[in-house]
Amino acid sequence: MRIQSINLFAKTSALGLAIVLTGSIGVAAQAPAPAQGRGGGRGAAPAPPAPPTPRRADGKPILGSVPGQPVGGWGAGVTTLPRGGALEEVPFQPWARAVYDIRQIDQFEPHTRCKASGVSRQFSTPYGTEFVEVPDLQRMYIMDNGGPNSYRIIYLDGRSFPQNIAPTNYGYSIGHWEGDTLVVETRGLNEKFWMDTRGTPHTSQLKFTERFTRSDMNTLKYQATIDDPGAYTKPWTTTVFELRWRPGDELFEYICQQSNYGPELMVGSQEDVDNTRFFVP
Amino acid sequence: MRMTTVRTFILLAFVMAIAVAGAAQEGYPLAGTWYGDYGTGSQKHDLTVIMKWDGRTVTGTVNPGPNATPIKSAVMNITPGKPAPEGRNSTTGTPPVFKVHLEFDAPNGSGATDHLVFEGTIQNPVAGNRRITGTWTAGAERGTFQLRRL
Repeated sequence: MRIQSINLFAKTSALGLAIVLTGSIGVAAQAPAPAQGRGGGRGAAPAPPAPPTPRRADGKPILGSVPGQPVGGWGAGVTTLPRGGALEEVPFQPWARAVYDIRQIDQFEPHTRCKASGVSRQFSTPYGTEFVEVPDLQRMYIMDNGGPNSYRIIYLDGRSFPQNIAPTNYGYSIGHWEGDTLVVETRGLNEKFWMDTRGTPHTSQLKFTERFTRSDMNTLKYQATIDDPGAYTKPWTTTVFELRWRPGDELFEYICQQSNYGPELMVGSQEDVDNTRFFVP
Repeated sequence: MRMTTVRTFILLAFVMAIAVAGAAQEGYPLAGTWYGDYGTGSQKHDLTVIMKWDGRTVTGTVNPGPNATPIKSAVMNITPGKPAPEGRNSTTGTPPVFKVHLEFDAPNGSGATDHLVFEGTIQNPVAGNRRITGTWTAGAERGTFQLRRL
């Protein structure tokens, strides 16, 4: 099986950064995770309502861990972006629909080859994500766990987009608050990743807008608007997805290649390696 | 000295062309830099095609450098396939077929210009190692071509 090289240094650095930043906002780590209400067997009491949305002193919702409480993260919650509306309602350009269709057959996704996958694809990874807010720096980090084990920066300092952004997998993200909703626009995305696990296509013309609303302690509502004239005839908005809070979830070292238990997703099945796929699709 | 300058210019143009195309890798299947050849029998000519997609039309350049020529027409025609059902991890299904029509003018070596028309099919259109193979014509001349996306 072909083994691709992994930038161990970058991943280790990202983990180190996560630890430093987590510590910088005074979140107590290693505390035992509170039991989750699961509503057990017959006659069990219904799960108590989730605690309210945690807030900072200025009233803004906290999207990540709450200082003084166990560190936690958000579980996977985004599946395929067109879900919630008929696929036919997505304003694909013909080529984009054909690429979507072919990706349902040829599911060799860059993410499964340890490539960083930006925007909404971050919220599909089983190990989840951790939001690390750094108010002093007016920015937020969204840390991926599993997969490429990388991070994305959201600037919250009111800056504008640079004139020429070198396209990257995570792009350049700027956020602002609209009431209790964090609205994040991302530009400067390259075309080397899928936006979701089903291969909804995009081009480098993509402007991706996300809306994050923590409606209570345990729920993060997520909705995205895709504005990509290279792939769609008009902008379109996804359904609202829900990510669930997982108290106790902390970032851990995950070297994608060493820990990859899905090699059949990489270059064909283990018994039938397709060596013609020397480039990641 | 003069030759060195020309070589430097050609090299610089090639590097810049690749750098520009590098911004568009996996989206629109035709976008990017393609390299291959066309000809008849054992007579092959190198062919480099750089294509860009703005959301409506494909533009680009053939053989960047001193003999660069613009693309006159580049069109992708898609025959829909029968995809696997939504949400199933299936490797079954009939993929769509991506056909390509490409036209440009090129000097023919005798001082005149030929109008070349290429008709081909993209193989493995969603992968980085995609190729286009097919036939070309220039008046009464015809032959085969192949391009590999760099």
